[in-house]
Formats: sequence, C-alpha cells, structure tokens
Amino acid sequence: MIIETGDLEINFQTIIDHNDLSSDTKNKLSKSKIILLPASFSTYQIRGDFPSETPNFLKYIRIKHPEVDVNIFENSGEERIQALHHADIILPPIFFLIQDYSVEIIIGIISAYLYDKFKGAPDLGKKDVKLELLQGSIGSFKIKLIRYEGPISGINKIEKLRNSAEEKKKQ
Amino acid sequence: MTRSYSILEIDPKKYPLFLNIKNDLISFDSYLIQKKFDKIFSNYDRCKGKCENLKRVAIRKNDEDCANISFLLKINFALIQSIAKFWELCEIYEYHDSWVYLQDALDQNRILLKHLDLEKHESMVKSYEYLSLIEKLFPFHVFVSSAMDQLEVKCSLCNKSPFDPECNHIPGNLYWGKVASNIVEKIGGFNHIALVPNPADKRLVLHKFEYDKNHPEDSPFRNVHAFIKHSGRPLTSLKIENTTREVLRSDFAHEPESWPCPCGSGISFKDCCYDKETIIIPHINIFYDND
Repeated sequence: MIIETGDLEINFQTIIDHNDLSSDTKNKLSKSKIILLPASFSTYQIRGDFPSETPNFLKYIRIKHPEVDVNIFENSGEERIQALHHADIILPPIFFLIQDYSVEIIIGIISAYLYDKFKGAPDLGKKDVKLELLQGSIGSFKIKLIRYEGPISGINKIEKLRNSAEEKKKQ
Repeated sequence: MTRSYSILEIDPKKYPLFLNIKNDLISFDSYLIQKKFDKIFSNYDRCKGKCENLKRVAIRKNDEDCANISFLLKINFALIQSIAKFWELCEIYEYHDSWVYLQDALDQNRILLKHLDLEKHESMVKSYEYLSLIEKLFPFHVFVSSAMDQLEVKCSLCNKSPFDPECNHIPGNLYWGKVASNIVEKIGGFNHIALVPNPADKRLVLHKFEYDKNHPEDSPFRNVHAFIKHSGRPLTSLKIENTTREVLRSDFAHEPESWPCPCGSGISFKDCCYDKETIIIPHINIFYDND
C-alpha cells in the first residue's frame, strides 16, 4: 500500500483557464464541482489520455449523484482513453474544492462505485486501486495532492493515512 | 446499487416457458455431475434459444426484470457448458485449451454473482470458489498485458460516446436483458506490452508448454491432472490448503530450463532455482468432503 501527499503549485483557476481547452469546456469546468483529469495531470498539467475507468466513473456519478456537477478536463469529442489490460483499477485524478466536498465524501463516492462495479465478487477487497485526489481551495494557490495505491479495502483509511503521512513529514 | 435478481421471481403463470427452462437447468446440473457432457453440448443451443424467447416475451410485456433474468438464465447454461468443456479437455490432457474454458466459466460466474441475489443462489458462490481453487492449480503465473490507445469508444446499447451525458448505461449493468459495455471503434495503437501477474484477461498466458500427454503427471500441469483424476467429477465439494515443501533439485532433473521455475516465482527455471540443491515449492493439499 502506498500513500503519498504533496502540494501542486496550481489552483482551480489554472485548471479552468488552460490554453488548450475551448471556451465551451472552460465555461463547463468553471461550474463543475468535480473535475476528472487525465492520468498524468498531476505531473505535467496538460491534456492527455484518460484511464479506461474514466467514462464509467463519470457516468456513475452523473446517474447516482445527479446533484453533483461533474465534468472531464477535455473538449467534447476529443476524449482519448488509454486502456491498460491489467486487473488493477485506475481511476482518473479527481479534482474537487474543499468548499464543496470533503475527502470523506469523495472517498464515499469512490467506495460505492467500486462496490457496485464488483458486487458479489468474493475477492473485492483484494483488488488493487490507484487513485489521486486533488483538493483545491478557492483563494489558495496550491492544490493538495493525495496519491493512493493499494487494496480497495484500504481506501476508507485514506484520510487517516494521509494525516499520519503529513505528521511524519512535519517530523 | 445494482438490482439483485432471483430466478424464483418469475411467475410461471405469466411465463409458462419459464418452467420448461427451469427444468432444463436442473437437467444440465445433473448432466454435469454425471459427466454426461454430450447432453449438455447437444442441448445448449436449444436452451439458449428458449432463454432468448423468454426475453422477447418479457420485452413485449414491458417487463425489464424478466428480460434481465432470462439473460442470467442464459449465462447459467453457458457456465455449465464451459465447466463441461473444461473438464472434458482436462480428461484428454489438453490443458492449454481447458484453461480458456476455465476463464470463460469464471467470467460467466462473475456475471451471475453480480446480478443474482446470493442468499437465494448460494450455489453460485460455491461454484466460483471451486473454479478459483482450480485456477490456482495451473502453472500460469505471468500474463501478457497490452496497453491500447482508444480513440473512439461507443456504448454497446445506445451507440453514443460513453462521455456523452445522454448515455446512461453503466458498463456491466443489465438493461432489458443486455449487458452494457464499451465498444472500441478506433484504436490509435498498442503502445506497450507488459508482463503482469494480474491481468484483466488471464487467457493471454506467457508460457506455452510442450509436454508428453502420455505422462501428464510429469508435465507442468501435474496438479491439475492429479485433481481431475482424484475428483472424478466436476463440482465436488473441496477445500484447498496452500503450503510449501522443500524438495531436492534432482526431483526436477528432467524439467526443461525454459519452463517456469517450480518455486512458482513466475520466471524461468534457468534464471531462478536451477543451480540450487533444494527448492521450496508450493504444495497444495486438497481436502474432499465426504459426500
């Protein structure tokens, strides 16, 4: 199990003002509560391929949580997927504002999605998941990054693991 | 949460064909246990057709639940057929092909686990455990996994892009007797291939073994061979205990160096324990229930 935390020197406005995006997309993203990002966004902050789980997760949020305005960081019709054919679940990096959602709520949505996807599978908890949460804040010039790689059964402990990882960093 | 179905939910007064299908399913179960595989293979298409007919009737009656159950019944027949084919191929020592049918059976069983009410269909949990245990007896530990750039993807049900807000079909879920899935229409290319222990599809095995079918007990499939021989029939009630055992290197004197190492590391014998005096190998104890 790997959990890493860090800061990115960008903010919500940097994301929605991205030069490569059309004005329609920028407008849509500015109203979004959750933005699903390309796989390598936290490293390069550019457009790119999305993990193959992205459209399924996007649809799940739209259907099960219609109150949540969720969009992806790409112009409509230009989405590209990279499918890695191994059994690990790779979710797209998820950006959200702390003013709208807490980490627990986002984790709750992810847990429900994975539970529904693998419903009935006796080995559910043993499957590995890779995810990145990018937690922004209006007025802040930094985004907090939480990166998790490990069994699905561990994602409910992310908040606790993050706190202890940050404590260790301070020491 | 997705809805859980029970085949008992279908009202036979409303759908008389259901009783007929249910009886066929009971017969299929007994054919499997009695190893009357020919009966399964010769009746499979007919039973699949009955399930399709039931679905058509259900759709005409605007009954989505019944349409979905008819799909699950069809998968249940397919599962029994896959287990039968797996077993039949194992009995003639065609282990590579039997592995493919084992994977088919596991996939079909997963669909049933996802959509059936498991309190009412406990046998599905047992069959999945059984198939998963058999899977561990095969010598496949490393698989080929490809990375693909998908430029155009469509929903199998509405043909819209899965990113389109108007597409409400979640892949893997049932809609009017069909499973939603994403269909890749245009591939940008395969940008790399990786060797992994946990692929999405285990059919792409790394090793293709040459072995003497007259002596399956000396082949890398010796555990599968022993299991099939001692079980006698499919779906016996059993438990597997995974342990290890230290054996002399000379026990594997005739093992080609290009085969995977007997220690189960997944890498070749030559690059692993080939020069050791003793090797710690996985040892599997199989316990059969008395019944």
